Amino acid sequence: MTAAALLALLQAGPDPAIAPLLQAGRAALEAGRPAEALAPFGEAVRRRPNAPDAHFYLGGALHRLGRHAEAVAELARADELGPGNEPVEWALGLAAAARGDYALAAGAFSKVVAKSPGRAEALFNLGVVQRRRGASAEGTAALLRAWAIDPAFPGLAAVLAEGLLDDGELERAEEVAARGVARAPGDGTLLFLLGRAKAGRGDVAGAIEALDRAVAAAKDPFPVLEERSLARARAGDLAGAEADCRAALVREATSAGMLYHLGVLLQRQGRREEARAAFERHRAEAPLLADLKTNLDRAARNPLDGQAHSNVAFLYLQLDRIERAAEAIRRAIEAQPALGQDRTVRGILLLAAGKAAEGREEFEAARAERPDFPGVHLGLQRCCERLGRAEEAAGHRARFEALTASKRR
Amino acid sequence: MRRAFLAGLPLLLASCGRSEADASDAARLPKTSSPTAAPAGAPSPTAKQRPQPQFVDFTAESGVSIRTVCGDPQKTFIVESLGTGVAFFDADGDGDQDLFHGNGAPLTPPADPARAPRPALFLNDGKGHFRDVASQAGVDHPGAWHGTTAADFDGDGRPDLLVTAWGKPALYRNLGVAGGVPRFAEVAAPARLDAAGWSTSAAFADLDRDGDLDLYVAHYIVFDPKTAPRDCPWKGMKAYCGPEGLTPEPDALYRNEGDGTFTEAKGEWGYDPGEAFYALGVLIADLDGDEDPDIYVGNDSQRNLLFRNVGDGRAEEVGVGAGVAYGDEGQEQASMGVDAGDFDGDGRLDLFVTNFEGDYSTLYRNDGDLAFSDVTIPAGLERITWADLGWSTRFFDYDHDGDEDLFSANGHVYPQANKVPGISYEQENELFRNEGGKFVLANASAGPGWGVKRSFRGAAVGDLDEDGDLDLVFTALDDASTVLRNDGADATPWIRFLAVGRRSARDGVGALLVLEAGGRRQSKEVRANAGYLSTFDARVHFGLGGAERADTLSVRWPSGREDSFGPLPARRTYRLVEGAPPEPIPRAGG
Repeated sequence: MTAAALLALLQAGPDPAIAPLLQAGRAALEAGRPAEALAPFGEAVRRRPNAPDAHFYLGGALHRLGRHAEAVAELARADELGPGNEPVEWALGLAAAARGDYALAAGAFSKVVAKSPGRAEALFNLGVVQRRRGASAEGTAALLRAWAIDPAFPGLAAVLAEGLLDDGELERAEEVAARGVARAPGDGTLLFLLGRAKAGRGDVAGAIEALDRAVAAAKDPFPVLEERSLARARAGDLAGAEADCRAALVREATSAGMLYHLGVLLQRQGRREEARAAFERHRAEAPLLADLKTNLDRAARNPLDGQAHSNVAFLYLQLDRIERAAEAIRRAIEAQPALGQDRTVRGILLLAAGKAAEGREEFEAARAERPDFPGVHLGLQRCCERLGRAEEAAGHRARFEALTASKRR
Repeated sequence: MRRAFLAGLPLLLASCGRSEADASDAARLPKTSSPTAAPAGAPSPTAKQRPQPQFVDFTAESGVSIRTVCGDPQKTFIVESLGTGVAFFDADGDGDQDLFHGNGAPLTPPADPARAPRPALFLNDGKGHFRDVASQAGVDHPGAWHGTTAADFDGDGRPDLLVTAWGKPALYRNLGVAGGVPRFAEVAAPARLDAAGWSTSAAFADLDRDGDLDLYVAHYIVFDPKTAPRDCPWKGMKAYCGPEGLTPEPDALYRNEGDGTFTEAKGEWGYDPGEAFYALGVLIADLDGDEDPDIYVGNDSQRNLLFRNVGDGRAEEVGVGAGVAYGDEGQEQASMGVDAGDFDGDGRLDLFVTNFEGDYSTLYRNDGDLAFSDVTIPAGLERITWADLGWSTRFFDYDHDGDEDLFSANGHVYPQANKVPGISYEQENELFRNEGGKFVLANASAGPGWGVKRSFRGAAVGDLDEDGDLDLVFTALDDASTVLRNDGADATPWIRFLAVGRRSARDGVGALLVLEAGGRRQSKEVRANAGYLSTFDARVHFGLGGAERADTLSVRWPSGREDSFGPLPARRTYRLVEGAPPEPIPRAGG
């Protein structure tokens, strides 16, 4: 919530019965203490349940606290009670986007854009959420309008260049990325996008140059290394491509594409046995990795899809990537808080916290409830492995294999 | 290929991930053409000096007058997008190449059945002039036909015809000529090949080496227009849906029982990969050089499969381990047509697979021991195949310089492609000339015939006018077909062989011919069923460069027998009967 948005609502003038409460809450917000603002704003809502500004402020405070679902509910109520208010629509768009409800966010930002068509930040946000909900053409159109108004708007060059790349508009993507790099020569993201655009247009040398700079600048060089590996392979630098590919795999061992690409690079260098090993590893893991990719994509499209996050968690558990499994579980709980009561879920979190014994207890309790749930045996396998109970681990693995045999390809 | 990139969102839109780029949105590369001979690798002086053959549009003069109907031009459903194939085969046994041309059907059958689109069987007068005798021959049944696969499945010396379909396939048994016209009987049901479904390409070969031809049939989708989804997004427009999201239909493999019937043997022989795929192209060739045929299947938007024959017809799927399942980035490709040929002259059969627009068609070099390298980029094929959507394809030596060139039949699947800058529904076919292992786009230097733009699909190569060089026929979606006559290649020596098996299957499918001429060794298999939905001239055709004779010819038959001959004068077609010396065949139509 921006201060300007809050002030805009204040100008409408609050109901005197709740004005002091709103004043107190605002003071807490402005002092950077949103938690303290909840009580006065909540009381205002209780006293005047049909006052849009009370819901607006409460929604804003909740949003600041990261309680996005509750924020969306309050802001949607404010919008319902006082429709056509641009600050409310703006705040609703932000909260909905933060929650991952891109359709709701797009609707809210569309209303803002209709009222203020020259507002670059509104077009930017509209473009971002449209693309994230899969409406790529609408998203790119909004971003291009923002670009026409203010090409220096923070972050716009990167988001637009990426959208254009995804749409296959390589020439324009390169132009946008190049203009962004000219403005921010050390921006790793823009350099990466510039490299991708150049590679796509066949300028392999230019791509490698941009990607070299991106590797040096990027906080997380994994996707850059992937891209540079492909570009180096195209340029015939097979050793360089292999080095990048291996580095990318160290960072992200679940990239099926990189695993196969490594096999191709090795085969092209005549290292047949190593190539065969890479291909065989890909062959063994590809179905799992494909499922993982499907669920990661599903979760990215809809961060509220708790099932997708949960699937991701169990797939990472299969790959013995416990940290990632726990991260996915936390997202699943965020989307579906009831999942937090699931004992297998608690087991994964304990396992990730290094508490294998406690995790095992949770999984054992879950087994008593659902003896044929494969995830229970998978969790028990991982716990037992960490507790040095190899035989038990093998038994649980066998049970897991048996329970999932008909589902495996 | 996953290229995950988490763009940190400024403002308050934090912690949102990037959506994956769709395969069809992949970056495009500009295409460069080689107007004469300006390849990345310098051409040999011989190639430079030799006049380039010219392909001319011979359609009107040939009499191949057929316009296909494949559903409606708007393409509401994926079933309307596959098109039909064409088969070169000597239907009437007079020594020249006749043509069977498939056809499709409108979504709503015409009220008057007589007006339904029908396939054509064009008989050749030996000089490339054709007349349609489909009705008299009994092969003109209307249907949603796709693949046209000719082979002598019953070993009686007369090529038969399998026509795949959305619906039940047809198996036309060649009964011989009566009244100057070959007669066919439809025998799919008694042969036990009449299972309904959606079959695409098919190929015959003697998988268990028992002397008759077994059959692999690629299948695409379990499809019902009544329940099929409509209006899926493509580049901001609505287009037909699929294949992704639709249920793939399992392929079929049939053992020839030798009595005119077939038995499904997929599970028994190990050709069941455990899941179904969207299969469009199939190739049967000895890819590991162990003297039995292996099967390569090109799948749409999924990994491709390689079944290694481990003996007695039994197989194991080894596509990933062999490096022929994905593109070089590990990406699933949308494969259509497939063929094998020894493009680098090392005696091993390499693979070429045509793919979707915004991706390259893939050249896999065979490194031996069932290991392949994706050499599309170093071979120069990435850029020149990127912008087009390829279908049928074939290794063939169109200029007779002694190496394998390639062609690709092209055309987009979405009519909406015409609204996208840089893409078009109607596309030019492409000719790729082999210049010492690198390929250059030769359209501009190989005659005006390559300038025709349509949404092409099936295509086949053969000598239509019996002048000693290789011509082409392309089918097009909802459009007239195109016949390209090769003018000029016959000035350069050539030699070819019509294989006839004795202990091996009658039409010699799978025999390996290794020929030495002018210090160059070439290896080719007898293989007619390949590309996409099509059958090629079964005669094995070699260009000899400057040599006026083949010094030696060795033949390895599927039966295991090996024959050697030579020298053999050039510019002749020889009948090559298993175990007997080659005999020149008088020129057909002469």
